Parts: sequence; C-alpha cells; structure tokens
Amino acid sequence: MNDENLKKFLDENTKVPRRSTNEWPELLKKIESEKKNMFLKNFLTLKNLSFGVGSFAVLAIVLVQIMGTSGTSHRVADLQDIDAFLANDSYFNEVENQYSWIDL
Amino acid sequence: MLKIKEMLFSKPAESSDELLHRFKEQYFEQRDFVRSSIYWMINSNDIDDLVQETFLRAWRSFEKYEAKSSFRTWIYRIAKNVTYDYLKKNKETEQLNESVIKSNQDSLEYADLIAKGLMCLSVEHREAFSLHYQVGLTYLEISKLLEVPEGTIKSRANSAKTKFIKFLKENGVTYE
Repeated sequence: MNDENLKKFLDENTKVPRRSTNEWPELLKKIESEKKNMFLKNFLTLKNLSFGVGSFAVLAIVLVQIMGTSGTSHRVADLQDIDAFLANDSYFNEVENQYSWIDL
Repeated sequence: MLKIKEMLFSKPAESSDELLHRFKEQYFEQRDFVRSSIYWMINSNDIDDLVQETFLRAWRSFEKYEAKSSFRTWIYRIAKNVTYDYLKKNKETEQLNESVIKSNQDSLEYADLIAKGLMCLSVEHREAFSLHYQVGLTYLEISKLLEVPEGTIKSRANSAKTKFIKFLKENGVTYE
C-alpha cells in the first residue's frame, strides 16, 4: 500500500468527531470562572497575610509595652528603697551609739 | 506573517482582555489541529473534555508563553501531556493485543480495525504515523513540532506504517 493510498484509506474510513458549536463559549465560561476563583484566592491570601502581619504587630507592641513597664517598676522600687533608707531615723540612732564617747 | 505574529506575541500583554483576545485568536487557529492530534493518539470519540483541558492548561500558562517556539508546538506539547495523562489513567497498553489479530471477527468495521491497529503501535510510533498520515504534516513539520531529527521521524513513521499494514492484512484488509 503506497502512501497516497494509505492516506486515502484512513481518510475514507475514519473521521475526527465533530466539534460542538459551543466549544469556545464553554471554554470561555471556564476561563472566566477560573479568573474569578483566582481573584478570590488572591484576595483571601492578602486578607490572611494582612491579618497575620497585623497580629504580629499588635503582639510586638504588647511585648514592648510589657518589657518597658517591668523596667519602670524596677526603677521605682529602687527609688522607693533609697527614699526609705534616707528617711529612716535608725541611721542617726546608730551613729549616736557609735560616737557616744564624743563629748559634744 | 507568522514571524510578525510571533514578534507581537513576545510583547507582554497590557491587560487581561488583550491577553484573552490573543488567546482566542490562537484557539481558533489551532483548535482543529489539537482535536485531530488528540483523536489520533487515543482513537476515542470522547475527546471534547481532553481538547478543553488542553486549552485550559494553555490559558493558565499563556501569560508566561514567550514565543520561543511556535504556538502550535507549544500547545501540541500540552495536548500530548493531556493525552498521556488520559492514557495512563485508562491504563492503555502499548503491547499487541493478540486476541484482536487472531480473532475471526469479519464484521469488524474498517474504523474499528484502524483504531485497533493504531493502538498496537508504540506511543512514539503512533504519534509520528498519525501526524504524517492522518493530520497531514510533512516529516519536516513533525520534526520541528516534536524537536526530534527529521530522520528519526521518518524512521518511526515508516516502521509504524509497516506494522500497521501488516495488521490490516492479517485482519483481511487489502486496500490497494
């Protein structure tokens, strides 16, 4: 069987099934649907990302505040201790006993 | 004309509408080729879904298509992947079906015999044979499409033709 006869035989006895007239409209529908899904997916991703970034920022601010507050409390406590020490009469009382031999 | 089109293609799309318009143009140009290629590879009437899947996959990557190869070559590769996935899923074998050759089913129509004869060929041989004898491409066109040397394509097509004709003769077909 030569090439031309073979081609003719194949052509006469087999046919590619006809395409539906709706092929492009159906394809277009799927493309549009995928575009919408992609938009929604990107929107949700951005929303989740914003939420994540926002949450992290709030957490960071809270941590900084806590760390700052605890440091301030420490300093205040120290100052209060010093103040109590200075105001306490016992210092002068002790000194009086120690140097009582001095005749003023 | 093709070169001008390819040059235009290599420019990035300005909007999704323009992208879709260009895709639609290519769809109308290549739809018959894609349909034939898929049909001859799987010999099933159920090809509408596969054609649609091919163009959908093409659309998803269309923005990245840079016209380094022709659009026909590019979409043929996608169609081939879709076809291979289909064949894998349906567990088509590439081995000769002994029962078909030895059967005495005289009532088998030529169309059935052709389909069975093609399925007896390896996927690569069937591809070269179909693209040349059924889709009507020259060996050079097939060689550029598949990026395989022309000599290899000729060899595959001739080997497939010999095997196919032998199958037809063994099943009583002596078309001259």
